[in-house]
Formats: sequence, structure tokens, C-alpha cells
Amino acid sequence: MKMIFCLFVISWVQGEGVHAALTEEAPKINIHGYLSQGFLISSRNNFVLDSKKGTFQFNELGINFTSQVTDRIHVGIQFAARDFGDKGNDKVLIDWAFADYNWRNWLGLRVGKMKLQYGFYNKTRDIDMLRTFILLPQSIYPEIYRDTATSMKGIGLYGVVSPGSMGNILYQASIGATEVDLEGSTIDLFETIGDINITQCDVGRIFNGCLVWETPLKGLRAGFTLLDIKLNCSGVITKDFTVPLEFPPYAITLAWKGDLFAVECPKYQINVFSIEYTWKNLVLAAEYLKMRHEMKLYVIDRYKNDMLLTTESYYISGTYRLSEHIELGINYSAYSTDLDGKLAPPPVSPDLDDQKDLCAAVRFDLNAHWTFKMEGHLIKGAALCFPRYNLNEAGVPIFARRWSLFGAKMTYTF
Amino acid sequence: MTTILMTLLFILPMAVFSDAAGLKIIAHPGVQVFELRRKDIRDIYTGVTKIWDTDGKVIIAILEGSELHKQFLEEYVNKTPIQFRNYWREKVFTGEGESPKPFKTEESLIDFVANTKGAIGYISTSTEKAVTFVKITR
Repeated sequence: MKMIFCLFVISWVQGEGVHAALTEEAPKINIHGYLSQGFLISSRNNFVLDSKKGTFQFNELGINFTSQVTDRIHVGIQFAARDFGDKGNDKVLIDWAFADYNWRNWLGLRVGKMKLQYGFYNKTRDIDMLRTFILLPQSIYPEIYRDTATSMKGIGLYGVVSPGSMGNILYQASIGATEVDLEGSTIDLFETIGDINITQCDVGRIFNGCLVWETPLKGLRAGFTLLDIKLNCSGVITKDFTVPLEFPPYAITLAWKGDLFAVECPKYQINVFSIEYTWKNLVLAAEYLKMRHEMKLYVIDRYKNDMLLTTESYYISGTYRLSEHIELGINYSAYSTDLDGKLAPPPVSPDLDDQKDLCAAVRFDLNAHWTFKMEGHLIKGAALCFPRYNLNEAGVPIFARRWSLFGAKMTYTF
Repeated sequence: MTTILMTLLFILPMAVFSDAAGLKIIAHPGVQVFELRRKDIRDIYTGVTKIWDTDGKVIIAILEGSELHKQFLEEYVNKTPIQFRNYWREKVFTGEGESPKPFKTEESLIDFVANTKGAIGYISTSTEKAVTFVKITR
């Protein structure tokens, strides 16, 4: 609430006092912000906490302060908060805060906390007014992993090279670390499907690389992003871990409730290939993601297992602006995941292996500052649905194979 | 005579101070840019080019909300005004850039370009103010 009040006060005084208060010699401070409130309702599965009943626990807000200190040095900070069911709860966090030294067009340096780049749109997923859809295609940008895919602290190089008539090649390479929120949705997912309680999670290092080719064909760009993470987690097993043998009903219990465990992830790599074509009011986009997650699981003194989690997903999307005030969009996204290992745990639910989603959206631009959107999804599979919100009486996640989701959202930007 | 006419017909469209719509690119004299390709203009207005060759930051001025703005974006940047606004909002909300400086009238834009180091803009009129008219080439 304090954050909302501050946003309104600052947006009001922005043109009046902030600039005037500065002397001509002092670098100007620019202030921008956004605030959005959404509503989600789903059928048969809870996409987020209690969404079957309809929920307003779906909002984002942010404010940034930036300044061009010299011709080449730019600094800024953005505070952001979000609420998504029982995640986020409008806790204000530093979204990004960095100093940028732009030495030449082909070489710049950033130091601080920066947005993580994967695909064309991850950097801007919090900023609702930049797209037609309320939810980005879930196969590439799942809400369930959003808390761990926002920012990183470290150092990065960026720039652009223009090889003759080949267009532009923009590059960005960053190295650093990030923090994992133990109360966040990613940890929640692993805890629920793995029957574990994660008490510690360290990201040793993140490498984030991105190449975007702005082709000589007007409006066509293609990109490749790489996210390479090393992380370690540990915690406590909350339920006996039993693996069925080849001839049921025989099974073997490998770990018991209360056992300590540790997971090393020597390789957690995400590759995304992206393409986007803009022709007047039409924007077509497609992205393909491949994730490879190698894990070494140790249950103290008793059991060791190497596992490999692979994910493959894609989407195709088209948007068209009918007029200054109305834009339409449609996308189809597909996600599939597979866990393999010497003694992989049995699947929690077959519906957690894949998800296919057809989405249609309409966006209304009321003016330059206000947008209102609505969208509907027809979904098959529940791989990107929060398991904790879909437990049966025995505490086991249970899903409907076919379900639907409707969303509406209003955003103010200044 | 035919050769001279052919030569003129060939050369004239290659390098002009204003395009068919009468649009002219102006820059602060300190920028020392006298000629820009269409691609250069697009790179400047999309923030790909941030630093002038002669040193100093590129500062973009636009005539927001005008028909000239729409024509300029369509012709040189390949974006609609809404796409252009959102493109720069993306930079603002990721910390990667500042929005172009918007103006309501050509006079105020010309004054800004004439008095701001590194500034570039577009107009449809002529001016006696101290700005450089930039030749647009293919």
C-alpha cells in the first residue's frame, strides 16, 4: 500500500518539482513507474492459489530512478513488487540497479544487478504494457519459475557490430550470481513434487549470453540466448522415497522421511532460439527452448543417484493492431519435460509431463498511460500448474487433463 | 544532354536533404554529421547507435503525436508510433536507455537541437537556427 501511495505521489510531482529542484549543473533524475492489477479465474485446476474461485492476488508495480551522469555513464535503480497467489505478497525488491559505461557503440560495460536475458521477452515480463498478452507464452516463460529468472548480480559486456550490409549483431554477455528465494515458486514446485523441504540453495555462478541479429530484411530479427547455472541445494526428505521395481508390487525404499539430502547441479543450461518479424501492425514471433538439468542427488550415507531433467518447448504467436486503441493476439505454446535416471522417482502425475496452451487475447489502449487486457486459454496438461494448489485430501497433487484459464488486467504507466 | 539528365536522375535520389514527404534531418552543429544512411537513422532512433563518431552521447528528439512523427517512423524506423513508444519503454524499464525527448512543435524541437550537444531531430520546415541539415542517403 505504501508503495502504491508513493507511486502516485511521485507520478504527480514528477513534472512539477523533481526536475525544478535540481540545479542546471546537476544530472537530471528521470522517474518512471508502472502499476497493474489483474484477475485470474480457472476451471478444474488451480493455476495459482484458489484461481478456481477467481483471484485478484495478481499484481505488479515498479518504479525506477535513472540518470545520465556523463555522456558515457548512465546509472539507475528499479524497485519492484508483485503478488501472485501466495507468492511475492507485494514485497518490495530491487529489480535492477546498475552503472552502465558506454565506451563505444560496440563495447559497453554494466556492473550491478541486471535483468536476466533469455528469449526476446524475459527482460520485460514484469512490464505488462509492453505486450498484447497478459501471460507470456508459458512454455518458454512459465510463471512457476519466474522468481528465479528475473535478475542477476555481476558484470556484463554489451555492444553492437554492423558487418557491412548484413544488418546489426547485438551481443550481451554477463557473469555473476543470483539468490534463490526459499519461499518462492520454484522451490515450492520442487518441494511439492519431490516430497522434500529445501533449507539451503546456493547459485554458484550464472553465465548469461545473448546474440540478436537484426537482419537486413526490414522488421526481421533472430536471436540466441544461453543461460548456464551452477547450483547446490540441500534439505530434508519429508516422505519415504520408494521406487517401484520392474515387477510390481515389489518396490524399494531408498530414503526415509527425515533423511538429509543434497543436490549438486553441475550443469543447468537453457538455450533459446528466437525469431520475430514485424510488418506494419502485424508482429509474428516464435521461440524454441531446450533445457538440460543434470543433477546428482545424495541422501546422506545411503544413496546416490544421477538424474537428468530435460525440457523442450516452443510457441508461435501473432499479434495485430486494429486501431490506435485495440490490438488482438493469439499464441500456441507447447511444453514437455522428462526426468531420467538410474532410479528416477515415479511420476507424481502424468499430467505434469507436458502442457499445451492455446491463448487468444485482446488489448485496449485507453490512452498512452492506461491499458486493459483480457485473454482466454484452452489448456491440455498441467506441467506448469502449481502442484501445491492442486492437492487431494491425501496431499498428493491431482490434475484435470483439460482445463481453461481466463485473465483480465489493467495497467497504468508513467 | 541526355547523359547529364541521366546522371542527375541517378544522383538526385541518392543524396537528398529532404525526402519525398519534405522531411529533413537536423543535428546539433557539434555532432559534425553531414550525411546519414537510412540504416544509420534507424540505428540512431532505435538506440543501437548511442555514441556519435565525433564523441558524445546521441540525444534523440521527436515530434510526438504528429503526422510527421508517424511518417518518419514508418519511413525510417519501420515502427508504428505505438511500437516505437513501447520499444523505448522497454529500454526505460530495463535500465538500458532513456526515452527520446518529445516535442509538440517544430520550433521547440529546432531550439532544442540547436542548443543541445549531441541532439538530432527531424522537421518539415526550414530554419535559420544554428543546426546542421543532414543529407539522407540510401
